[in-house]
Amino acid sequence: MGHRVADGIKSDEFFRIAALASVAPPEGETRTRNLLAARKVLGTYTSRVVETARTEPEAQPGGSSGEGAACPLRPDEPQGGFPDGKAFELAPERGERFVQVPRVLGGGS
Amino acid sequence: MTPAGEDPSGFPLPSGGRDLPGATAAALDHAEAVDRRIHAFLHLDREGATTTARRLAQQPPAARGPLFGLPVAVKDNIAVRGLPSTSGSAVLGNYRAPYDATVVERLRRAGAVILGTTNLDEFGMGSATTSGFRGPTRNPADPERIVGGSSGGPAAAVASGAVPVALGTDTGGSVRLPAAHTGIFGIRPTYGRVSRFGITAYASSFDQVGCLAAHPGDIGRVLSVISGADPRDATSADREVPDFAAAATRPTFPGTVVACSDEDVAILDSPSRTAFHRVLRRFEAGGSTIRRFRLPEAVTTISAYYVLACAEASSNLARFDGMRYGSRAEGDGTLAAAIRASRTAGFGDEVRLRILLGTTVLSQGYRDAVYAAATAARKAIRDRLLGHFDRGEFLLIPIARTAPRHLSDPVEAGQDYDGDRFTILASLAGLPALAIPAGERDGLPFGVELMAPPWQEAALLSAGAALAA
Repeated sequence: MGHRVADGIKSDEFFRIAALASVAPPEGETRTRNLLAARKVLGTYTSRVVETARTEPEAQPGGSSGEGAACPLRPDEPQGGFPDGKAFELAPERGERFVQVPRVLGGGS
Repeated sequence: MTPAGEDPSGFPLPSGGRDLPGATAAALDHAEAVDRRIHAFLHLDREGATTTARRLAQQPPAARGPLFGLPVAVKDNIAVRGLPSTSGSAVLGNYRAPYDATVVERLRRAGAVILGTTNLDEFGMGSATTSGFRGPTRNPADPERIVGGSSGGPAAAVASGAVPVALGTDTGGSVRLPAAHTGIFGIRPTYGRVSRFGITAYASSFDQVGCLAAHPGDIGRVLSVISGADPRDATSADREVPDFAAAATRPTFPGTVVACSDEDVAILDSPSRTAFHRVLRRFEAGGSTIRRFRLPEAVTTISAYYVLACAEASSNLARFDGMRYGSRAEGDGTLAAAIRASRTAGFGDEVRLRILLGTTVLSQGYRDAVYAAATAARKAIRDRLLGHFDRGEFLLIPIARTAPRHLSDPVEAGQDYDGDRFTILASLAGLPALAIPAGERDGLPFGVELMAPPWQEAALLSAGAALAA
């Protein structure tokens, strides 16, 4: 099942995600370094950011990048997705006005 | 004493003065000479700059723009028509921009001469300017040390005297950190002040174009030209553009400076703490009232920033697949394998790491728990920051915890992430922020950051000019 990379993430899952991202994780020492960094961000950092969100009742998901900000995409920016057909889309109902998010990537083959 | 017809940077003014083609040739020669020592440039455009200078020299004085003859360097993730635009990545190693970014278009229209493109961390992902595929940039103050990043090339080009002004981009502090490490000014404007059309996107809700210069007046001159709404960038704001150059000529200490607390400053090394307290005394001597406040917790701000920035990067960089953009590597003959091979060969380690992190936090099971939480935390951080100061007041924070490290120093995983603790605040909140040179610490440049409410860049430049005077 692989060793733990971070809270709730095991290495085999991490590398499956790498396949979905169409990049191979670095090898050797660099791979170890990357896994350590991943553990730090995905473990310490993500758990803390989740806690902050829970303790900030006034905080609502949504863009907060300055007045007048609406969408980062250039009107003529080519839109696309991964070659396996997983498209990108905005999810305004979740307040994701700024980011093209991949359709849910995990959970499948 | 500045000769008639020149500005303090030594370059011609629209009213006339020195021979422009000659001045441009001298600037190119100087840039080439200093670049052998510091590697600030990725491409010096001798032919294009010379042609531009000759054309501008034919203009009657009345037709000359506000930046007539001003040599400018441009970070290599900003499109300059006909020049290589690699973003410091091997995946774009053979790419040339087919058009000018809006900011470059506006510089040209105002009479600037683009000398070339400058080095950066790959796709702007870094704080040292060591991860670009063409090697590191060295700090002009000490070539054995890093220059800071990711706009290290622009900062080194300015600090070495190769150009008076350079354009950089700032996602989490990429203009302000190298400005502090090289002893120059660097501004991150309010999100939306400057068009991002033609900028290679890293994290779109954070990316902003900024200016670096030795004199605040030069920042003001360039910022006035590049600011303003752009129909090709929906995030650019349709707001009046003040005369930033005039503001920079009116040094004004703010009435109130809201400085971060001693607990926040405690993470700085001793010489940096001493230098920061020296800045507080300087503001007090100038008549400013100092109030203190506690910064949002570091682990929260760093978390929110890296979760969101990596998520956006994983999406933005999906286009570099060796098919639509980027160099192509062959796989086992299938499309998917070719894309995977191209991306693996083309991206450096830090970029691959951030793509992996971004894809992870957007994946099923993590997206709602982590990505949405980071978005909420970002909103809370912005609200808290804005709650600390009123119009006319400024937030004062350090930029770097230590002096720039030696290029040969080993770097632990995540070490540079923690170093972003101060600069990411303005990035998360979309606020304007100015890096101001504030003397030295142990013989190396030291800088501080002033943040202002949205759209108050002019006041920032006045305050920066006062502190640096």
